[in-house]
Amino acid sequence: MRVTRREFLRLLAEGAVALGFLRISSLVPSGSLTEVVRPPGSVEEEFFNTLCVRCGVCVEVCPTNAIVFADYMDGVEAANTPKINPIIGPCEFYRGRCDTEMKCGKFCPTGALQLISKNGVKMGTALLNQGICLAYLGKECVVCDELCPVPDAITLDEQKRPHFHSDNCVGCGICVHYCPAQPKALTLSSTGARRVRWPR
Amino acid sequence: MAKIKIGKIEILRAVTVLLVVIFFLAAPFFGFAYGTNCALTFGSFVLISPLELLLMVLGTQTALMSWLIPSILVILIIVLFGRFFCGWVCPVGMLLEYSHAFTETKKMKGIGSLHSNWDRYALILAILLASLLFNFAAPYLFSPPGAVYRATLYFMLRGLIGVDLAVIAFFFVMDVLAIHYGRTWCSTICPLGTVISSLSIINLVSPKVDKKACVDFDFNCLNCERLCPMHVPILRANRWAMTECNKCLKCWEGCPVKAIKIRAFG
Repeated sequence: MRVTRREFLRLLAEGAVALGFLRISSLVPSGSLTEVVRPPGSVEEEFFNTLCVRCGVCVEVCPTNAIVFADYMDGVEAANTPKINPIIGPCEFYRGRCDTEMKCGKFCPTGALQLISKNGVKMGTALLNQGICLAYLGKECVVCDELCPVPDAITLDEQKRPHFHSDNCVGCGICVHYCPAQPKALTLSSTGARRVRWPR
Repeated sequence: MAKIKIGKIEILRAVTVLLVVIFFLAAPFFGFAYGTNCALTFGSFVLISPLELLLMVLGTQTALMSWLIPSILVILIIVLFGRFFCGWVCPVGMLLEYSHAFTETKKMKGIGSLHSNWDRYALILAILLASLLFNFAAPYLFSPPGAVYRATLYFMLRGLIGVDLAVIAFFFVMDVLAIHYGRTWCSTICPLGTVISSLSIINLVSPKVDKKACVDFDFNCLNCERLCPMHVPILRANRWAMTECNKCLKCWEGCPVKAIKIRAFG
């Protein structure tokens, strides 16, 4: 099969155009503007978008529907990767429907999510907006403290107001899911998330 | 609208594709298999598509045994049977083919050229380089079979909110274009198709024309090449052009003098 000079030049031009097009997409900040909260046992963000083949297994197996697909606002490269949406469902890996083993890590076919021990998981941190929190507004509400599965992540002071301790929080989002305030006084952020190191 | 002749093989193919679709969509609800066609997991037994394997290996610059061992089976099937997947399993290709079938009067001259297009190799090169250099794996987003299955499954599990509308729109545009262009996507752009046809070294099953029985030279028939959805120049095709063949057996069924034999196993 011979390639004429014209065809070869066309090939080069197309390659350059395609590469430029793909480069643009990598210039879009992926996860730096809106860092997404990943399911437990996920590898470092640097490799996550490549290792995750967007097969949707984790979304299918999640018993609490906590895992949803990230959309294009989370970065073009992160689109359709799994993320935790605590509003739809909390991640109950610590206590609840998923506490024997993490199903997403067990079923992930490529190793983007890995089956690790429960004690090593930290998906993120719950952040409190004191201006909306019912307890800080003088009402009686201890929902987050009662439902939090982790000891010492949320403590109450004398006036029954919750205090969040980010070192102990595992970022499961149970407090966010059950927060009765409208809008929610709690948000789940990925600050302090501990990722599995990808061996190279 | 032209008359659409539907042969037995056509029905068999449509039923196969439908069964695969039903399997993919029903399996997670029974809990014996999860995933879409980019990666399918039966608990401990995993199947990974070769394109995804390439992208993962290039992107992370590591090769895990847990990926390679299950992929050997997939790659072996592709080496032996080539683009069998595109004709008998891929629902997107089937849909594109049927969108085209209803406007048969406007059909392009379906006679392919021996000069295979190099554009798709440029595209796959760009994709692989982007994966290697920028950790950006584009086919995860736009490869239609995986994306369509993903959107459908998500719709069945969670409802309409959160379904990847970009993919649906992309697929819709592709389908509208297919009314005129047929399976041009499959033979010119589809990155998975490029990988499969590049891998199909042995390609056991392919049509072979019996030159003595063929009426082409007297009547300029070329019915087989016109029927071929992948635009394979069947009469003149060499081994390399024949890697495009998706084993739909349309040429074999449609030949007026039965001059086409399906060469299988040697």
